[in-house]
Amino acid sequence: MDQRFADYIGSFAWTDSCPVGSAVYALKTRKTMEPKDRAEYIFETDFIFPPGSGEKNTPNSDRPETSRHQATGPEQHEQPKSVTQLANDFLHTHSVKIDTFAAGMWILNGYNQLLLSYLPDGHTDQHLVSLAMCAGAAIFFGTMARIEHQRKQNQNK
Amino acid sequence: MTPHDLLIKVLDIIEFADDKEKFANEYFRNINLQAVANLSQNLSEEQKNNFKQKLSEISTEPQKVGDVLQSFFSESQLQFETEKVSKEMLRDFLGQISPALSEEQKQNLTTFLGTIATA
Repeated sequence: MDQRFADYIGSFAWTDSCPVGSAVYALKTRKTMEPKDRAEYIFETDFIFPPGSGEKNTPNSDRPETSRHQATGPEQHEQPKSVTQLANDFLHTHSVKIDTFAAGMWILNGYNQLLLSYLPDGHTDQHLVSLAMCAGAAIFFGTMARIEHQRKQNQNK
Repeated sequence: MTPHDLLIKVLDIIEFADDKEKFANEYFRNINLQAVANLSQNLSEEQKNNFKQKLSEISTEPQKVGDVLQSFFSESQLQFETEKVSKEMLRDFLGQISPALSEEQKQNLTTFLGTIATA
């Protein structure tokens, strides 16, 4: 992480007005965490796992700590979830979110299954969808690689 | 490779222990539903009313759903939105499961997805 950015984010970590998202609130009790580590944690939480991904640390979140990104910090003593549990958590969260969204689109109410029965086979180029999925994976791995690279650079400073 | 096959392979690599087919079916249901919901959101009120009317008329003839969809959304719109949602979903999915992945699993995922992307 760029040091200036780390300093900037870290400077907000102890204030109530939070420009980088509610993840900061979850960090306010982490008093043992160094400013740079806090900043890095916020950066990853808010920017790598954006709102809606099921990963954000919101103050009212009832999601267990262990399903979040396993960053550094003192609250790491809970039993980690398995990959199957995390995958099921993700799907469940998305299903609820998307059902709520679709229900809000009154036009889709009652017709969801009708539309869905047609779409998968007949309406999109499946090869292009596969490529799009790979692009999504590439974005994730590319971002993780950049963060790791930056972390190593910071350690070498 | 179809998106369904791709996801099943990803689930194989991460050693997903539950029913992979069931997971994949719901995963793609979510993608398709979100894509249509996203597009519907952009319709005018008049278009929404027409869309709803058409859907209610064909509810007993599901084979006509394609015609109705095509009259409101172009192929390219549906394609673009489905790709967009698919990309975001897999990115978010990997973000969620990554803390539980081993280095070997991450490497296998990277290799596999890279192979598909360049095929």
